[in-house]
Amino acid sequence: MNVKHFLRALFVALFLFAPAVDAQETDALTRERDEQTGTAITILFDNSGSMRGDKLKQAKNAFRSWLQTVPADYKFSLITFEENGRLTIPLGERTRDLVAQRVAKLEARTSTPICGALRIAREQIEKRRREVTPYERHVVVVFTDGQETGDPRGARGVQEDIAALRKQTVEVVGVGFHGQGDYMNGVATRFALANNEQELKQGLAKVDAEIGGVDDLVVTEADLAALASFNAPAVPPISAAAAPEAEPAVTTPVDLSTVPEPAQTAPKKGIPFGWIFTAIIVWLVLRSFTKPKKKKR
Amino acid sequence: MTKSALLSLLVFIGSAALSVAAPVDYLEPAKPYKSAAFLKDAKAQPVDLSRGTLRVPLITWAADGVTVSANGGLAANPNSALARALKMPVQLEVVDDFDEQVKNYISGKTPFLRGTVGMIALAAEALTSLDRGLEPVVIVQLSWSTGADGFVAKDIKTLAELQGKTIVLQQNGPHVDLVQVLLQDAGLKPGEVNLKFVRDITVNPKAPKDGKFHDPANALRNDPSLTAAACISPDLLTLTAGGTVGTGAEDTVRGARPILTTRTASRVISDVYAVRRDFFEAQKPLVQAFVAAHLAEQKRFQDFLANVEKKAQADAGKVAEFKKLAKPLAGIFLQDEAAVNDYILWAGVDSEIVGLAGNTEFFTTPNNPVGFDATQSRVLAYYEQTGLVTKAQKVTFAGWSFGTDFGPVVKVEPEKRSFATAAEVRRAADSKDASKLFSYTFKFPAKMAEIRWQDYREVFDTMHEKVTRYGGAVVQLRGHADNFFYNFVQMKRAKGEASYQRRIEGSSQFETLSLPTAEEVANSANKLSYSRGFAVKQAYAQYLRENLGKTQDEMDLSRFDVKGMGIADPIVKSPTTPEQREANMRGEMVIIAVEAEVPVSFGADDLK
Repeated sequence: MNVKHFLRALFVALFLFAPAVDAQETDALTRERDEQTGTAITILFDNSGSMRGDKLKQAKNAFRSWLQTVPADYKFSLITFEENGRLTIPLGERTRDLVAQRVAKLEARTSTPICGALRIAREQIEKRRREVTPYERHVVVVFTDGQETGDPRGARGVQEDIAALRKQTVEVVGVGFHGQGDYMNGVATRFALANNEQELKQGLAKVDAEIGGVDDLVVTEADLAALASFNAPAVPPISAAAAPEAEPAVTTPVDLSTVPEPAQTAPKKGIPFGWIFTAIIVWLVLRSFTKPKKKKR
Repeated sequence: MTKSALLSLLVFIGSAALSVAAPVDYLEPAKPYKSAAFLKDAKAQPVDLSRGTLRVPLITWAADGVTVSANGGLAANPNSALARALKMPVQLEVVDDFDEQVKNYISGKTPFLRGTVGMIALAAEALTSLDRGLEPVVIVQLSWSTGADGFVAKDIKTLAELQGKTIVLQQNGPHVDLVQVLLQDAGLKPGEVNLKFVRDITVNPKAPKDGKFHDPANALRNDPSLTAAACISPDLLTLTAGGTVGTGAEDTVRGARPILTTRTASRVISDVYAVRRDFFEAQKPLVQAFVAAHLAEQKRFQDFLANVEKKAQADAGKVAEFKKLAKPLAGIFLQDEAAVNDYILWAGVDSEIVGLAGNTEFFTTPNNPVGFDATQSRVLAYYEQTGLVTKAQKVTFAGWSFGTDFGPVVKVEPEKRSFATAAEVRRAADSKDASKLFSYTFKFPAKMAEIRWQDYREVFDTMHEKVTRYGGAVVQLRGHADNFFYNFVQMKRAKGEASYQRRIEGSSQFETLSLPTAEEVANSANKLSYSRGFAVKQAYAQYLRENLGKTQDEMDLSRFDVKGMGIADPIVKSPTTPEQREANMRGEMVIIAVEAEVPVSFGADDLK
């Protein structure tokens, strides 16, 4: 039931971001504008072995009911964790029901290649920005109950890849199922444990680019003085990021000095998969004895 | 004498030597035109039809091939379509020297003047002051220049940089229209640029053999005091190493680059015929028959060219027929009958034969910003300011009713789309060849992205004028968002803070919120800025529909590239006052020349 609460909160937040569509203006130009500035949600759904049983069933039910409440004009994509991540449903129009059907059929039998799935999400977004429109708002929602198993960098790799996506103006929402995934906290745009509805609501509050007047914000004299000389990091136009010659931002080194260290050390390169699998099972068993950490944003 | 004084003297002597050595024959234009020496003792004579032949001038221009084709050649031919329509043979003559045409016109050798609207308007005052019967009456439009003429400049990128510089162009030729309108649109007044004039538009074998240059391209090569030249496109390509930047080698000029051609400014140079008022009144049926025959031949050319435009699907038999027809025209205008394909490209790509629909649009559409009335008003104002005429005198149109005088009413074809997709126009606008010509700015209130054309009527009138005149340009609509909130968030984060206080909408209460992340603010700014740019496009479409009565089919919005700049390009980088923030909340309309990227109707390969 907690999962349901969280998903409802996520829907409310995404809905607040939704373009204000004037029912009166439905001409071709309005449609063109809305198509260019729509919202595209890429869902990374963890169907790893650790989700087996009631956990997966519960997650599927909650996910399906949430998905049906999200506006149909959003574009959806589904990336699952088979092999090293699989683009199960590419971003496109009218994909909501398809995503729901596919999630309903998922079986929990994979490893947890979050980095691989994030790479697929990034490549898809870059292609879409290049070939369709750079002005869509991209949100990547990572549902997971576990740690990276496919990438030797481990949880640090997930952190690095999330940070790189954010540098490309992609919002990454980390959702820790069953008390896990908190290593994304402070790295993702937003992170919440699925059982804290209030925390989610606050974390996903609406953001405006501009303020109407100074009385919209509490701005002190000290703030104004600081702003006058403040040199904010440059933000290139998003169309430049979509240009074919643009270097993929993911290759840029990411400063992670301010983010918390991952709880797990990365698995060593060259370890046989059987060992990794065994280690994960042991880790999952041990984890079940420890109380999950709660973090306030 | 000190070293520096000696150096100054050497520089002075060198400069003087250079200016003396510049072998360019510049002409001083008569101001006003009616004071020109050849007009001093001129007297109007009646039009001479005693030989039973009508003489009609041509100039070296692709669309004049239409006249030659209708006449079956230059010589008087009683069996030609033109002669049969007029019930009189017509003798055609290429007269590129406009003053020579004016002399023939006054003396009655011919009742016709063949020029651009600007050329006819220049002569109108002088002719009417000589005799009311000489007043030119414009009877038909032949074409627009859509690539054949251009503007090249050294070491500058935009037209506004021409302030205080010197430009060379042909005297009393079609480029006067071009230079005038480019300078005006760049915000330059006549006195802010020096103009020098030469006799010819390009190298002319008939030019005086005096060891001097008489054309703009050679003037630019040989006179270092010049910054720019208006010239024909082949010269422009030679000067700029094929449309790039000249190096100084092989007839190029170091630093010379094309600023634009009439492929971009496709509604500036309009070629027309005019006749004497006395002849028009006495021989109106004959003049009308001339126009009818000309329009019929224009239609024939348009059909041939539309067939070529079908490329692989073209009717090969019709292409062969057109090539046969064009062979003598290549001989007359390009001095080489083998240059048939060049002639066809010239007629179909570098110029646009307008036909009946184009004439209707040009002469009779109300409020047409590039129509006959607007075109001559613009150029006459310039002539008056510069003393080329003493008083702007409008040239009369023959007053045809195109819907009934020359056949059935023409069905309006849907406006051709310049670009197939939004991605294509976006690529063109961002290409390395793109160069910004002009821009206008719209203001938006905070968080808003709506605009009504009625609130900016004058701006939209001007925008429509520019968009129409620069028919080959991309119109980029750049939206911008203010960066105050982004800076505020980043500054707070830099100070180690994690929250801020924001007023709850519609109340005086504040709530404490977590500071948003950079990508959240940036995404919101991207959307807002894109919506602002798009709002200008939507308002323009509404302006066309509601103010000018245009239908969806009559609008080509494919040339519009909407670009959301987010917070990347603020006017004020660190705004702290409401005025500074408002300055950042804006939409810009930027007209961009993208000639290399604009798809052309057909190319040389399609004619093989």
